[in-house]
Amino acid sequence: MTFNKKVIYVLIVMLILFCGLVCYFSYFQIFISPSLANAGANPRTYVKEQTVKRGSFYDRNGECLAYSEMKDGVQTRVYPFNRLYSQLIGYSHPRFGRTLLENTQNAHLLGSSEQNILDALLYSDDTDGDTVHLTVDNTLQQLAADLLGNRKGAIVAMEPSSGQILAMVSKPWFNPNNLADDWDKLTKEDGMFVPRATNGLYPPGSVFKIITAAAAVENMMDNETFEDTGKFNVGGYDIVNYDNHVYGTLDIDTAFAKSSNTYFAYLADKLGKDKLQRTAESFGFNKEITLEIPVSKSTLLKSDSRTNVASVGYGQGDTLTTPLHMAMVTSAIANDGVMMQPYLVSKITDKDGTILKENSSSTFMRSTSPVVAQRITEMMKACVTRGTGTGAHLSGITVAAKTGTAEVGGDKGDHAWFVAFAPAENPKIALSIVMENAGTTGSACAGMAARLIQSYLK
Amino acid sequence: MSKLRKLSPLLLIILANFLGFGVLFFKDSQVVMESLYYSAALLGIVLIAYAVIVFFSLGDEYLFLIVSMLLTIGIIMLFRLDHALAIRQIIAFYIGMTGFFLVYLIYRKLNCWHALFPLYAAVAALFFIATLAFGTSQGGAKNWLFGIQPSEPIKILFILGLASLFTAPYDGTYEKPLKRIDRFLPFLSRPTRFILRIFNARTGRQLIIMAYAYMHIGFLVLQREWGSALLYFLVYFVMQFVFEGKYYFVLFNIALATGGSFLGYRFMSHIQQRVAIWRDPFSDPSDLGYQIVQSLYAMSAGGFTGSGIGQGRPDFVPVVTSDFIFSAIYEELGMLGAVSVVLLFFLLVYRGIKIALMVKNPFNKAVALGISLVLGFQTLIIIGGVTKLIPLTGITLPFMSAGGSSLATSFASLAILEAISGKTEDVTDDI
Repeated sequence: MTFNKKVIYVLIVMLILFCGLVCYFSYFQIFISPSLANAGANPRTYVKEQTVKRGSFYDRNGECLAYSEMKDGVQTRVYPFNRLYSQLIGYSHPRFGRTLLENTQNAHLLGSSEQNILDALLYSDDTDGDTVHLTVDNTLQQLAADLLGNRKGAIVAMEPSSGQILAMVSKPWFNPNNLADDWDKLTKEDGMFVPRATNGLYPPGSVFKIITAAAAVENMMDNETFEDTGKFNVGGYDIVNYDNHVYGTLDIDTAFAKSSNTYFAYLADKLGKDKLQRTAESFGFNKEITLEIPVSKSTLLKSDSRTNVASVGYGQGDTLTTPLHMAMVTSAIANDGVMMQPYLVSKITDKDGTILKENSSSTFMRSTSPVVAQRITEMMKACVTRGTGTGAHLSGITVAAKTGTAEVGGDKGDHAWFVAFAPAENPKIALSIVMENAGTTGSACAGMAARLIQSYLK
Repeated sequence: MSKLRKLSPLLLIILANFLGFGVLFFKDSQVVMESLYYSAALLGIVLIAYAVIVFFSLGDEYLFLIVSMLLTIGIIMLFRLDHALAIRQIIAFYIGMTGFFLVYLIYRKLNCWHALFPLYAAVAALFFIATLAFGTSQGGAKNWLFGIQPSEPIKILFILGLASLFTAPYDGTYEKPLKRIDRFLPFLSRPTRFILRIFNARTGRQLIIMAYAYMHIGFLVLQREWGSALLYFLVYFVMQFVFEGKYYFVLFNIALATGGSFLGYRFMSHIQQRVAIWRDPFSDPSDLGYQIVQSLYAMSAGGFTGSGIGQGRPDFVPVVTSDFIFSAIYEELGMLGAVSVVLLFFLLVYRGIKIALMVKNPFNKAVALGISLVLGFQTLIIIGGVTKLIPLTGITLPFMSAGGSSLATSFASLAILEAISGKTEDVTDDI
């Protein structure tokens, strides 16, 4: 081939490369730039806030949870409920940036996301951002926060049939109205900016037995009887019940109600890693959970040692999960085995109230069959009537629940867990509670759950 | 009518100049007088230089026109970003054009370029060693020596060296130089003859060229200049493809490059970092990924037609006046503006390759090709880098980044290209 011919090939290759660059620009323009243009961290959006009044957040009943005050061209963000939503809505501050919902909903709050080019041209001097309506119930949120008291941890309440989040409280928390004053103190405190509900990863302890039990039922191992001697040795390691109780002969229902560790360790060991993992993953473990704010992934069974598998069976071992996820698991049981996609934002409206965007429920995973869900529901009801969860008993309302006490190791206190849903026959609310390093059993949370359920169902 | 057609590129440049500086004439309802002065200064050099090129029939005038358009856009953006840099760029334009005419004359008058291979290699090696010894770092790469970036001018020597090596005849008579060596440096007689034997063998020649190329690339890797290393490699690789019939050399280079980059990735944390940041710059948006993240935000803010000159906030992008000038253009002139700039660069490459095709002298063909390749690949690498198409490297955008070494080299390359295109007796119409 002559020199010239080869050079022409080179020219064609160059042409293709340059065209490729142009194609990349088109791809970027259409698919990538919209989300980046209005991203919370794009410094230009702060400039935009000088002309656009940032939109507000409302709860499901029209209560205002966050709004902006304009004075002399300076916007100040106001959070009327102080600390209550600091770990859910987050904050938007010119110096400290934007977090959580203030960050992810930034495009809506600045009113720019729903505009197409024509609207942008015609209404370019639109000075109000859009309003974000949350699924959260402010009364429930307040109550949950009061009940959690001074402890670290979280409470998550959901509607099992739709996936709507009714309350999400995380502590420690802070007052976003005083960020400038408190910033130094807040950054020194360990984990202040980690919202426990969505990003706190804890061993679930006994509340995980819901999943082990489901796996047993699915694999037809729910008729196992076990002679409990208070100790179960697997892989050279002794697994004991809480407080070293000896329960004698156990069937799955009693073991669940009394929350026997040895029974479920035995069950997990019999199921084996694969079967247990499959069920856990159908309940969302090892999977990314999407929500309008970031959610940490729940993980388990990275190690396939026999000891670990047995430990995972009663919620220890290498299992880690978030309070939100356990609320989702509880919701799945409540909702005939169908785990709904959780969501926080119900709709976006403009300043005149016109609905711009409305979110609807969708299924996240089909965790288990209705038959299995029903079986577990019965077990959870028994936990309240004759097991460790009697503190959640309410007259007139059938509550299904599970307690959990997660060992942490070292000299730190155990985590206290409690999950519940009610009414059992037609669930309207599912919740999960975790008290970090509380050093008490899950039963202590039972009363909190009862109060929340009672208040909501009133 | 045809006179107008001939003048239309120039008219477009004048129009761009007026529009750009016109928009910047007002700022916050105040008149900015510099706008007029800079506009006039810029217009002056463009018109004068163009007149000289056309009047003296120096060669292909489109080369200059394309570059003028690029410089006009670039200077308008620099003016918008920082008056001081804009005036320096305009002055650089003036000096650059002076240098342009000088280099043009030197290149045309002296016809010895194809024979100076040992000089190219020696000077390059000297500069590289000096940089390694005394050089200062900037942004992780040790590539500055007393205020200039040696890898820039060495680019030209590299092309000249490759061109001379690839196009030197295999049965070249080296009577005169050999006689001189026998007389003055007899101890070099045997080694010289030995090297000449290798030189005149096809495979031997390839090996010598390979050594020459990889010496440069090796030095650049030592200096951590990944972008330049890639650039030099690509130019060498394409020239080898064009000049050498034996495909196993081409394949060998592909294997070497793949192997080298693989090893580099495995063992050099610096490279792993660059690749990780390329894949997800948002994993570290405040530190390592900061430049790319800000560049992406700027690009997204522009939309198709851009936010408008002076209306966007390119000042949020770091290093926006040199490596990331393209991000500023993308933000304020939009995707259309960005595509236009890309097309202008391609036209430059096309023009250069056309010259390479039309010229008869093999050495000049090779040089023209080499220069076109450098311009083309350099543009692709840096634009690809700042837009996250490929990992970011620290090379500049020719003619648009504010930077002395870069601009000087670009003008010099352009002058050589112009000189080659001007040898009309050399031009052939049969491609």
